Amino acid sequence: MSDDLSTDVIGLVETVTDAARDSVRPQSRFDGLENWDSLRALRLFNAIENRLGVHLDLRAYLKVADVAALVELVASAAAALGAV
Amino acid sequence: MADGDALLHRIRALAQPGAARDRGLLGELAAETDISLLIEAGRLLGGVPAALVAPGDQAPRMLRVAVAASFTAAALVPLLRVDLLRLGIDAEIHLCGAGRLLPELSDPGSELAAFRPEVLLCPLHDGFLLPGRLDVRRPQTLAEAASARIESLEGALRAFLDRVEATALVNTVPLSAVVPRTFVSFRGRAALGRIWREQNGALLGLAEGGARVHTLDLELLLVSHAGPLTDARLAAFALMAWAPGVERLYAAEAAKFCGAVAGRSRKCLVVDLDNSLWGGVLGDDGIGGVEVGGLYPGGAYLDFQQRIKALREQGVLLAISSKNDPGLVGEALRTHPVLALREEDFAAARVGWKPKDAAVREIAQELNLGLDTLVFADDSAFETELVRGSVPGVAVVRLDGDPSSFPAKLLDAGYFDVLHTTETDLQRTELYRARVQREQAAQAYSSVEDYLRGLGLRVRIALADEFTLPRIIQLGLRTNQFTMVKPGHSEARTRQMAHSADHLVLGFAAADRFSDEGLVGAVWLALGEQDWTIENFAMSCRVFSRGIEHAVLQHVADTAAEHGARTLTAHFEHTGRNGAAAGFYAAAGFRELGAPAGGPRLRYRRGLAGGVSLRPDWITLEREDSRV
Repeated sequence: MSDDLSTDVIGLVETVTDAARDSVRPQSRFDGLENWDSLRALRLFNAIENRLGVHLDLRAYLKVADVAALVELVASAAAALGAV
Repeated sequence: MADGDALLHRIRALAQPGAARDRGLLGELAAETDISLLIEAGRLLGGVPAALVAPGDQAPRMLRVAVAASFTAAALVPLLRVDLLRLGIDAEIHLCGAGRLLPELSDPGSELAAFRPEVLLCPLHDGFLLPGRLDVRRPQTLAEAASARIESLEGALRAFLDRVEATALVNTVPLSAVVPRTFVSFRGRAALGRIWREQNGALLGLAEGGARVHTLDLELLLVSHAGPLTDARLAAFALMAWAPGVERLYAAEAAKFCGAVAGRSRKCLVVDLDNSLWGGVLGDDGIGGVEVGGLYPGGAYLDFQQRIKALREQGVLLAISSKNDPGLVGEALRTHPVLALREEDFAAARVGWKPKDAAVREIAQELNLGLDTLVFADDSAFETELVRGSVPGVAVVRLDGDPSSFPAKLLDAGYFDVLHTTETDLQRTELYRARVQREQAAQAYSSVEDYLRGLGLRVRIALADEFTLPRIIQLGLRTNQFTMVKPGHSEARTRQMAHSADHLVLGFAAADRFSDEGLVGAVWLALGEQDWTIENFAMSCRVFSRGIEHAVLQHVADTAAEHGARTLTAHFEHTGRNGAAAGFYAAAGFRELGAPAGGPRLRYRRGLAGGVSLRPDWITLEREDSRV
């Protein structure tokens, strides 16, 4: 998957959780992030959809445990758009 | 993505110590369409001193706002914060738990009650009114369930407002499309529609029942909104009833409501003429050649004029700022057969060739208004950018594009929104014009006192009653120059004092041979056994320099003495705008006692033994009530 997408997703995670820049890694688990709660999870969901222009499956999103899995989810959503 | 992150980076920098002012930030956020970005921006702005981003030069107004929604409304908070900052309001926002609206209102020990909001927003979604299980065979059960919910809400609101001085906003409820679609018959849907409109009618009716409950007609506003009502996934998962676009719209309207409660409504529209009120240029096309009335586009300009006239009829002052020949403009306003606005509709005009930023400042000064009460509307990008850049605090509307778009461009921002209009509002332009006549008459007298004696000034004082309270409340909140404390008494507090045995709220009205000004000022008094305290004394700047305030103060002193008081105390604090009142008490023989605990509120005191002599001899005082 593109570096850009990974960078963008990590950037949004950092913004939504007020984390320091470059502190979030692909292997970071969401339940290990400071400031992580259900409201932030939904804010991140909306931010990804709005700012990256993709449509995510909420059920799949809620199951994602770490940032790498999230990036993969976003990448397949982006590819599904491109495939049309 | 990069631009958005740059914006957030700017906001984080503002939260650092020693950060400089960023005047452009809120303007850039206004143009932002990415709601997720706005939410992050609003969240971060919660940690930034409001004065660094708020517009104009006045200190931001503090306001406690509570959001008690029937659904999960967390996203409203940051959106509201941004819109409130744009109005110069620094809000402390309390969010109640999702769906806890009724318990928070009803429980005297609730967190909501302890927060003591000044504004209470109660966003309501369709789930609040719909029963758990919709019986499609008997739509009447929906009516019963919804009416019962509205009654509970009304009861809980009244109980809350009895305990807390707040002004509340409920809303008409938009119905999710899936509900009518659940009915397969057209007749069933029509029955549902009728019932739903009745429920929303009842919600609108709540606003008529009490002074401190208002209803936002959200259902109507959404007719022109391009997005979905709900994101069904988030509604199902998290009870987030409204899609982000709807939340944004609600936040914008709720902010206007807070502005109206806080007395931030703007008071004067300064408008251009050529290609703003008519098509074409008067100087080139002549009076007969400008496009106004008749078919498009002239009809669109005439419609715009009629909307502006409606503003004036509700108390907004109008002024002209036009680069034109004054004689020609006067002739056009008097003789053109079709205009909706005429000379007498304008309280001031600057027609000539001076730069418009100077003209706007002069208009503000002539009308005795603060710059942050003005709206400037012009078709020219040159003029709007000039005024935007050099006259901080003025709201600027660019009238570009098709004239049929002008009413929306002017009115959508809600600059002039108020809670109610009063009798005085309806006559405000006439009163300002009478003042001009008065000033012209003054020039004919050799001494100011002769002139004042010739005016035949009468001042009537009376206890506040249901008819005068709205205007008195308005005076307390919106007067900036002759007022003694900031913020003024809230609507709730004034009403409470008016009905209290230990307080008096007095209104005073003035009339002279030119006009009856109506209610021009008010006094808020706390009554003790030995001492009466003037908590606030507010008077409209329209009636300065006539000695009215001295006559009223005399009356207050006389009344206090009649009731056995020995001293009269008065509160005063420097608000930055009330220099006109700063010397009032000292000049009336009051001694300054200083401020308790070194705070900003000073106290003045005067003994009442031996009587007080302040009333000028050219004023006749009439008291309407022997008790006052």
